[in-house]
Amino acid sequence: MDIIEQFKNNKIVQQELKKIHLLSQKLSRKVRIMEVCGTHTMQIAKFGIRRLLPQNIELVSGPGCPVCVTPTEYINKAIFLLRKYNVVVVTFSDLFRVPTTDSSLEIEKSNGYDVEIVYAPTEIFDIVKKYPKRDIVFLSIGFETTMPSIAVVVKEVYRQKLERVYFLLGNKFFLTALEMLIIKSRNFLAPAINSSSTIDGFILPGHLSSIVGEKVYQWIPNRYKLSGVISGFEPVDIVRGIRLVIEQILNCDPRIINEYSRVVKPEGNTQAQKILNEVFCSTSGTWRGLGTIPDSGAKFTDLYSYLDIEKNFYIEKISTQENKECQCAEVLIGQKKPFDCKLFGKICTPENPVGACMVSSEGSCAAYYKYELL
Amino acid sequence: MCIAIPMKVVQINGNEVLCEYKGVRKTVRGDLVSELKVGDYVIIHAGFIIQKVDIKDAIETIRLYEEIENL
Amino acid sequence: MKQISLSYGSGGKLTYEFITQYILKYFSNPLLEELLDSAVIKKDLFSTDRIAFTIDGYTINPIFFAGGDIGKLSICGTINDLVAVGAEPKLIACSLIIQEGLEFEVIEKVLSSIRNVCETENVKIVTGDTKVVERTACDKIFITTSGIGIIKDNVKLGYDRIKPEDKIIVTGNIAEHGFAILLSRGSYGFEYDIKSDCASLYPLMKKIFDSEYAVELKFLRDATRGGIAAVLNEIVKQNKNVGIELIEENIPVSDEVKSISDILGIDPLYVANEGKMVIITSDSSAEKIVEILTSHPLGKNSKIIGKVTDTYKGKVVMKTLYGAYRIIDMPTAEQLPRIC
Repeated sequence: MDIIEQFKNNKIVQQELKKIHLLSQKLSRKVRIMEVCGTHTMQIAKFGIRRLLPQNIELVSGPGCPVCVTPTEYINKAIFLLRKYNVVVVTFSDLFRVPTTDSSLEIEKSNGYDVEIVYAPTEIFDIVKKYPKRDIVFLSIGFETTMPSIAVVVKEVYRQKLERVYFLLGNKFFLTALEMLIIKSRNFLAPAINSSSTIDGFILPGHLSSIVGEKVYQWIPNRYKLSGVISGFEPVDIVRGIRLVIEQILNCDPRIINEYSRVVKPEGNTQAQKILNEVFCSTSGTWRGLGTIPDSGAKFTDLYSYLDIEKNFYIEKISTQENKECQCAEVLIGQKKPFDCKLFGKICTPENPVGACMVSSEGSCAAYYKYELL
Repeated sequence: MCIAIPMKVVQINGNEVLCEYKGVRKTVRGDLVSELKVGDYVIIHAGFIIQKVDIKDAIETIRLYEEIENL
Repeated sequence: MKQISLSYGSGGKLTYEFITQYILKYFSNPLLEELLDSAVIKKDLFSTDRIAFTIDGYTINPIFFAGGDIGKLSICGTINDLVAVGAEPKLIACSLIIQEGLEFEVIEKVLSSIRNVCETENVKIVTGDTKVVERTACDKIFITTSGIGIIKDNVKLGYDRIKPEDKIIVTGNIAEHGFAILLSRGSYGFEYDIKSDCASLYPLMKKIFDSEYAVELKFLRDATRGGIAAVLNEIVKQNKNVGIELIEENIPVSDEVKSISDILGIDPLYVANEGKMVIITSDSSAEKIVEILTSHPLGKNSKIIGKVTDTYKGKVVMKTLYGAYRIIDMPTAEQLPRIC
């Protein structure tokens, strides 16, 4: 038996779904579970899980896609660097097509600027060889999952004393934003009155948790009496995660359960955490759709701060007016579904995204657009 | 994006680790994990191994589903 | 190593030399050898009511890839376009645009692979053109081929023939061409053994055209760019009275394609094929047709992947492995892997 394959096993998925349907009959009201990770959003949509759940269990999508929450100003900065200083911009493909008001990295590349797409941050060393006499800027985005890998590369750049390699920092600490999200989505004054728009529990990100561990989520049940299940990305993991959240709701026993214990250790990956903390520390962070959240952004620690492009080059701040009709802020905190937005599917489409949630294929609006319109 | 499926370690050469999954191979970096062995299942993210998969734990999880045949 | 220069495209001595020493070396036939401005074709070649006429331009990076090259692609692609309207491919016109400096060795490799396909498929290149352009005007070689084929009288295809309950067949494992190209381009450091499925589909489809089930065929489409998702979406946009319902479980995908698509987050339904026909046929003929297809090496993985429905008019939907329906939208741009 290939144990890895069993996590896709439809028989197990159907067993779990049956359990969920039975449990749902005991629920006295509609419950809302938020999957905060973009990959969960995509997988749920791809497998069609939302449609397999009982009517009184609703899945809402959170802000867990690093591309979606990257403000347009960040890409404006990268484009400014290309145009003004003719740097080589190195990026994950995720950002390549994200539009600004009048451009995108893809358009800039077609205009002759050098934009290199990489799969791994380590590829930056090949790019240094390809452009030995140019300034190279890595677009450093990603949550706690991606930051340790980038940190390894930053340390290598430092060790090798590479002189013309810089980082445009757009990394974010997801954990900090998660609490802000709960605060925003909750009506503390009268939770009972507005219960339809609160979140009852979370499916927590699998791979982010593999780095940060399970203990760091304890404040969710302790402070907010909400349950959370750390879940993997295979179909069995996801339905199992949903079932575990519902069991906790029924038992009025909010806890953090680690469904993905084959990968997520209680303390996380301490080796990766150590490297992350050597290179990055927190600062205020701006999230597309959520605004500025204290301590949720990342900057370099003192030793590496000279590698921050903004410490070396003057970058004009070009702010972008967000469309007032856009309801990404509400969608990101789970108060509205993509369908509730007037722009969704009409003015705002994956080819022509208006807001954060349509920008990346892992954004909730993009996932709904691609998979859920029936 | 998080890659749901783990890859298997085929060869270790310092920090460079060759991994495989059903005919797909990639050399990734092993800096973020320790005590890596050939045959380990690992989770890959942006070209790095970010965690090992505990196969015993996986088997335990699946064992909970007794109705599944041929386990 | 001898390289081509702009003078080879200037119409003078070198152009003549190129035609006689290279083109005729590979594509000698009476019609071409006359070296007229047009090929002169006798009308008795066309004994049927209808002829098919198509053109396609081929640009690909890299020009040599696992499972084929631009030469093979340019002939197979045009053959398949003819086959997709029920035709037997006959004659081809071929235009080459070559970047100055390209090695003759490379040019000959491409020409010889064009010849190989023409020989095995029994099609003739009867007219053509060669231009050599400046370095910045072209990437190595661009090929345009136009083809003429004769349509069998018993094959009647059209969007309006598609009716609910018709079945949808694909003639084998999908997405192999696209992933092979991705691999040849470096594919983000992933390695795998996927070869392009680039092939002429005439030998396979001839078996159906010659069978009693030919009259049951409703529609054919060569599922190239945009994959089967694009092709099926085009169908429901042209015939808005029907929808298409796919069964994920039945879609033929090799293990390697499945793995790499899972890893890169690229949906194989949207990835290009160069040797897969999407067939829409009557419910009653579908299984018989699959039987014929699977008896041929090119169609050994053929499957009924879904049906035409009147439930989801104008849409393509898919029943997932887990029993839920989801939409299969028109692809927007070439898919890029998702990383962070």
